[in-house]
Amino acid sequence: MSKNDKSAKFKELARSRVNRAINMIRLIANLGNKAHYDYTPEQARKIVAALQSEVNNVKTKFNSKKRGTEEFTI
Amino acid sequence: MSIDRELIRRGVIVPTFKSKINNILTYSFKSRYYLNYLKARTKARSLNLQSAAKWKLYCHLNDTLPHGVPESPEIVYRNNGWVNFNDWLGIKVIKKVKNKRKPTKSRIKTIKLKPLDSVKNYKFSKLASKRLPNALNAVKLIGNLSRRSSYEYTDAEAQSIIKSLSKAMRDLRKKLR
Repeated sequence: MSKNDKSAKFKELARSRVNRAINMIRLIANLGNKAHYDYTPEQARKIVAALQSEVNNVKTKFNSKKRGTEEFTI
Repeated sequence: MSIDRELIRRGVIVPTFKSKINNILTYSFKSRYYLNYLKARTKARSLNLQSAAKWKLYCHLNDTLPHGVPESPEIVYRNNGWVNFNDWLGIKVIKKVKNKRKPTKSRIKTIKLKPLDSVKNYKFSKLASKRLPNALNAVKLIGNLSRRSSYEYTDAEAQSIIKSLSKAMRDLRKKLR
């Protein structure tokens, strides 16, 4: 697979996946509507903490430059 | 009929002349004559007793009190100048002055908790347990794009993904308070 193909694939997948993830997070944020739902601060904290830890994982994955860039040499 | 009148009738108590009662320095109580409140108080104060309990103890231990001073001044002078035992014995009461400074406001915010609506909470937990795994999975899939062997991307692209995710998280935090 050429570089261009890889880049195009990344862009396409990133666009769809990020949009999907943002949409999912937005759906969870809708649960904060107190007119329809009621929750304890503990429940809200748990949800936010779970999502934040996953987002942090993504951040560390993208920020670690080592991954996939190492070249094997003898 | 009062007890006194009955006792007088039986001859136990001898009625006294009214002229004695009119003496401004004396006060009669049940056929006994005491000094008026102020005079009796000065005599009681000269004993230097520190409390009402000590006064009672003194009365119990000493058969003879100063002349014209009653054993139970709170009863004898109840309508004639009685204040309290501190006044009777001349005890100074030092009132503690309360600190008038306003208490400093604590920095901890108090959150008023409303009673939880069980139906709404049920809806919330049901939907949250459905949506949260989906969202976690979607975010996880973005992380898979970081594999450099399969995909090619610039740092700016990676940063824009992180930025948009962070923004979504900020909005989530705002709404889920």
